[in-house]
This record gives sequence, C-alpha cells and structure tokens, in this order.
Amino acid sequence: MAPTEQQRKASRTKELSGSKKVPNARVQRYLKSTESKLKEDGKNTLLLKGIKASEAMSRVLQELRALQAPRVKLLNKKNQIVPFEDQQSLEFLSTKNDCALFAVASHNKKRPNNLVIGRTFDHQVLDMAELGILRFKSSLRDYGGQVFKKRIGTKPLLMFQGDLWQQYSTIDYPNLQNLLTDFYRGQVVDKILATGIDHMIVFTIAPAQGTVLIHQRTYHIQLKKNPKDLSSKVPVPLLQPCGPDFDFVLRRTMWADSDLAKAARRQPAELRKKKTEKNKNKTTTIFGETMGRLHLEKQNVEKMGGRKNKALRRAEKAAADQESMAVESELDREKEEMGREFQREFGFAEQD
Amino acid sequence: MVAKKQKTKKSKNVEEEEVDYAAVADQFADLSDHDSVEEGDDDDDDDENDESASGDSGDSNDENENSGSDDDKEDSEDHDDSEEHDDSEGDEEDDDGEEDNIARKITTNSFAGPEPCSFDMHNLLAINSHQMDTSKMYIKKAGKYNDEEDITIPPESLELAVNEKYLLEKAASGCTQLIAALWQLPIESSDVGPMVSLPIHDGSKIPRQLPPPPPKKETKWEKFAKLRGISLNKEKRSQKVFDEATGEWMYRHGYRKANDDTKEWPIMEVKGNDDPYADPWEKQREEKRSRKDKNMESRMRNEERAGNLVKGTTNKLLKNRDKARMAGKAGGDLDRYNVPPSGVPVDLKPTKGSGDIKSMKRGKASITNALLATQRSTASLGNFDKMLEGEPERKKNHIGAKKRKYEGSTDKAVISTEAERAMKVFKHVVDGGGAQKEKARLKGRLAKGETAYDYEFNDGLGPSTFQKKKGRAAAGKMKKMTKKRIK
Repeated sequence: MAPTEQQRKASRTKELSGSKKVPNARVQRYLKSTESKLKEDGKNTLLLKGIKASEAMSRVLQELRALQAPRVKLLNKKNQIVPFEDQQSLEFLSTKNDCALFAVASHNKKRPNNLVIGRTFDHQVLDMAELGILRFKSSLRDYGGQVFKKRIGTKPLLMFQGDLWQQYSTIDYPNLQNLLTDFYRGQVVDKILATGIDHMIVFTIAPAQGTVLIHQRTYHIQLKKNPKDLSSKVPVPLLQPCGPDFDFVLRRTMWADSDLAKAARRQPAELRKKKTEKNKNKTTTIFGETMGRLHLEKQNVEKMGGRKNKALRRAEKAAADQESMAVESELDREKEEMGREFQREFGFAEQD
Repeated sequence: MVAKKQKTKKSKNVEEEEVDYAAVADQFADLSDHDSVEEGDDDDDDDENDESASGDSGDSNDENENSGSDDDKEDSEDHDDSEEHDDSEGDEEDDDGEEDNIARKITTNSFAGPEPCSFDMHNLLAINSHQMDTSKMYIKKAGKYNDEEDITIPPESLELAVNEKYLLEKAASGCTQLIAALWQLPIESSDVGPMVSLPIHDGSKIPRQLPPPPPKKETKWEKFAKLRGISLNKEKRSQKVFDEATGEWMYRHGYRKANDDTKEWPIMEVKGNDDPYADPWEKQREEKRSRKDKNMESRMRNEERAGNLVKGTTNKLLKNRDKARMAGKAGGDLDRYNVPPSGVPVDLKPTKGSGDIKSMKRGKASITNALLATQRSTASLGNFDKMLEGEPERKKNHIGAKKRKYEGSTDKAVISTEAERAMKVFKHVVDGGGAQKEKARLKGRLAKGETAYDYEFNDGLGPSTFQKKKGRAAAGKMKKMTKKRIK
C-alpha cells in the first residue's frame, strides 16, 4: 500500500532532479499535513457502509458524524468490505482519506445492526472490534426538538464504569476501552477552556442476559456553583441525557499482536516521560552560585607523571649534576685512600 | 426536563450507598433556582418550577447566583411526585424522618459520591472500577417503555431495560469528581476564559496513527557550522525585506522576491571588467542555470548522505545530464555550423560506402551519383559539354532523363492543345484521377475500400505480389543443394 523504500527513493530522486511534476502549493501543503508528525493531532474517522446497510445503521453513521465533526468523513456508497476477512480495501480507503479511525456499518440476518470500529497504524489495520447495536437512541431524532445540540469540535469528558473493563482473560476489555477512548476523545490538546466542557460520554459494562452488555450514554453538562460551598471555585455539573445512547454487545474482535501494538505506542524520544533528574552533586549557595562536586577515585600521586617545564628541567639537571659530583668526589676519595694503602704496603706510589 | 424520569423504589439503604439527591435537594428548596436549561424548558417543567417557586419567600432571582443544581430541582420534583403518589401506591416510604440525619452527613464531597474514580486527565477520562450493581441497573421490561419503540433501533432483543436514573446518578458522581480533578490542574486565565493545562503524557497510551518521523539528518553545511560555531541565521532572517524599486515589503525568497537582480531587463549595463561585445542575457541565463544546477546537486548530495537516496544517484544523474547536454549542443551545432558544403546533394542517401551519416563524408557511391547528376544537368543533357581533365567517361546516363520539348506560346500545335491539356489537369485535380483512374479501377489495380477512409488507391499489391505463405513459411524449406539440383 505505502510505497516501498526503493520506490520512495526513486520518487525523491525525480523530485529533486526536476523530472517529476510537482503539484501546486496547495496540494503540497495538504500532502505535508498527512506526513507523520512528532506530536500527533487527533485522528480523523472514516465512516462507511458495508455490503448491506439498513436505514437505522445509516442513521447511526450520521450520528457518529455529528459527534466527531469536523474530523470525520462519511462515505455514502455501499462497499464490498467485510472487515474481518479482508482489510486491504479498508486500508486503501483509510490511507487515501487520511483517516486513522474507521467505522463500518452493516446489517444482515446473521449480524443485525453491526458496527465494526477500528483503527490503523502506518496504513495498516491495528485493532478492530465488532459491536452489535441492540438499542440506539439518536440525539438528532429521538430526543425531541429541544435537546442540547452538541457544538462542533468540542471535547467530551469520558467515563468507563464497571469492574469488567479491567478484565482481559476471555475478552480483552482494556483494549476495547482503549479503542473507545481513541474513537471518542476528539482533538488532542494541551490546554482546554474549562468552561467549554459541555458533554460527557459514559460507558457502562455489566453482565446481563447471559452476555456482557455495554451501555453508552451521552449527557449534556452544565456547570453550576457548588451549593454547599459557595466560596469554592470548583463547579458541580448538572447532567441531562441528550443522546446518542447505545446499548451494544461485543461480537468479534481483532487485536494487533503485541509487537505491533508496542511499536504503535512507541513515542519519539522527545515526548517520552523524562525521569526526574537527581542532582546529588549540585548545590546552590545563598548567593545563587551553583557549585558542583566531582567525585574521583583514589589517585596514586607518586606514580603519576606531571608536566615538565624549563624550571623543573633545570632543577632536575642541577640535582643530577650535584649527584654526579658527589659520586665523583666519592670515587676520588676512594682512589686516594687506595693509593695511600698501596704506598703503605709497597713503599712506593701506585702510578710508578 | 427533557428525559422522562422514571420513578424508582427508594430502599432504606439508599443513603449509605449513594447520595439521595432528592433528600439533599430538600435542603435547598428555599433557594430559588431560575437557571434552568438555556434552550428552554418544557411546559410541564415550567409549571413545576413555578409551583416550588411560589413556596419561596421571594428570593432574588439573579442568574449569577446558581444556588442549586437543576438536578436537585428535578429530583425535588420527582420527590414531590412520588410523595403525591405515595399514598395511592403505598409503596414509597417517607424519608422525612431520616432527612435530618442526611443533612448532618453532607460534606462538600457529598456530590461526589462514595465511589472514587481514577483519572487520565490528558484524555479527560474517569475510570470507575467498582462493580456495577446489576439488580439496580436493570429493570424487567413490563410494557412500560412504549416510548422506546419509536427510537431508531428499538430494544427488541433486550429483555431487561436499563435504569436510566441509576446510570445518570453514577455518571453525575463521576463527572463531579472529574471536574474537581480538572480544576486542580494549573489554570491560566486568557482572554477567552480560564484555560486548564492538561498533562502532556497520555495515561491511556493510545497508539499513534503513524510512526514518528525519523530525526532530520544534518546537512554538510550545518555540520560544519556547528563545528565552527557559525550561526545558521535561521531565526535571525526576517521573512520580508524592503524592496527599493517598488518601495514595499516583499518576501526575501521565491517568486517576485525583493531586490531581484536576476531579472532580464531590456537594457543591460556594461560594468567594469565586462567585455562590451559579450551577450549579457546569455551570460545571465548561464549564471542562472549554473546556480540551479549547483543547488540541485548539493540538495541531492545532502539527501544521499542522509540516506534518502540511493548512493551514487547524484553522480549518475550528473553524468547523464552532462552527456545529454553535450549531445544537445552537438546537435544544435550541426545545424548552425556544419552546413553541408555546397555541391553535395543533401538528399542523396548515405550508402554503406559513404561512411558515417554524421561524418558528412560523401563516400564513393554518392560522389559518383552526384557526378552523374551534374553531368546531365545541362540543356543538352551533357552531350556537347567539354570533358574535363580526369573526368570519367560519360556513360549513356541520359537514358533516364527526358528532355522536355520547348513549347512556345505562339505555336499552333501548342495553342490548339493547350486548352485541352489544361482541362485535363483540372479534371484530374477536381475529379481525382480522370480516365486514367477509371482504367485502373476497371482493371482492378486499385484497392477497394472497406471503410470511408479507404478511398481507391493503388497500393501496389496485385496478384503478382500475393504471397500464399507468410512468415517463416514464406522462406521455404531449406533443401540440400545436390549436384543434380545445381544443374
């Protein structure tokens, strides 16, 4: 799907040498925006219909589009896609539309009201989960005219209730939680306007009717002053159900194998959590000077060589001269003594 | 309110497990609340509001003073409703006796509920990992939920119905905690409002959509500059520069940049050391071309060093480019400088013996041909021309050449036949062939067209040229040349 290493290099050669026709600036800007970034923004969602989609499922997709606008693309035509059998078509569509999340809606007798949500990594399908919708109450239609209308682009508060979300023995619920969070969290931001929070999506999981049911409810939030503590600035929310409400059951899943999952979650070094530095050897005096302490091993000073300079060399030379003179004088004295001995013994000097 | 509240049975233990909003709301019954939903309430709710408001002692109705939450108000309504119906059903208990106890238990966190949640503030996520009480969560459907049949996907296969109120309460408690946690984060005020700084690190570890980009490799210049401590000017240079010619701020680089000397002006100044007879435009074009080439080369080399290109592509490309340029120049020069010498017929095909096509050498064959042509190129077809020294004998080379008869305009023969001949030519042009063509058609020499485009023409294929066997078979069998056959 994505160009191979060789293809990319060949393409780049053509671009640089001028033989490839470069598109206009607007297209170039768009293509640059689809390249990988250091810090990623929110993911776009692709909403599709499968082989057969009922009107109700179309409404489900419209609802999802309303929730995820403007980062969403709803395709109108039916597609011959069965996500759990062949992902190639899905990967192609998601790559071309630059959407990392997708939802395929279909309806047939065996799997009624089927919604397959999933995400891609590096133009390949990463995770998929098939949800069978048992109940759907649409915010656009079923809640009456005076319901709160979700503003485009607001970030929801999310909540997962139930102890089953932590269980992963039979079905990997934590992964599903991760997928649902990814699907609904919207744009990734550093700062958020505190008063701009207007809705909350709650996912409740509970065992019922022999299976495990998941209930998704959306509430409109209004922040009110805390009645018990009027002085506190922390508000208290007032919740009103505004839809969409889903009751679904998890049918099939396809999770990425651990290697791919790990690779997908790997963040670049710049964004990874930095361990707090332990500066044991740095101190700051009261004057604001930062002092550092170097800890060294024991040094054998005697055996170390030092730098030589003229004075040291002179001193060495002088010392050496002195020594040699002393040695010479010693030798002379010895010789003299030996001469005297000789004379004593033999009566005449040695030299003769 | 918008959603129809379902009446739930209040057990005796409700205060211990969760906050009874109804009871709590009673405390604030005297605080007026006119801050209902901005979109407007239903008529029913308005009535209920008025009812409770009438019981107040005319408190101030400032919208700013949000003294009670609507949630409480709703619950108080419900409470009122339930109380009204209590007597008839006899199921509901009166909580009045226990309300004083609740009032004393209320602390500032009572809205939060007893189930604390864990948070991932980067995604504004709250996780309540306590077990869900299925007995409270689900109610057996008993035909009460007729209004649900109208929704987009009605719950036909579900035997149980969800207790929406229970979910709402739980959600409210979680939401309160989440907002409290949000308010604990560092807040900075901006012109839009209070902005909360969310933590950078993702607690849920949501996977990326694409692998992180590979780190950018330094170019040769960047490496050198770093080594020598030379600044790269990336931050220093401004995007726009003042252009003297137009007197406005234009971009430093690119199309229509400021102070552009590389433009072609109709009049070019001859500076200092320049040769006055050199072509300045040519020179400018050469300079521009060399700059472009150098830029392309250095860019490619940098990319090659970085590993984005296959090693050796730059050299290969440059070599090919130079080759192509040389060939182009040679080709152009051929037209400009290598005009064939006069006397050599250019249209005579170069033969095997004439040497290389490009060499412009005539070769023996074409020389003899040329000589033959020139020899008969006189009015007398070369019959009375003086023979030059060394010239080869003139063969009867005028056999192919027909001498045209002189036709004077006053000749009788000419005058009588002139009109006819002219008409013949005219007809030939207009009718496309005339008698000659008719003859050929009758004889079957012209190809019969199958389509509108196949008009009648003699394509030279006739019965004599028909080949029964085609391809390899047409060559025939290779038969051994025996003595008999040779004879």
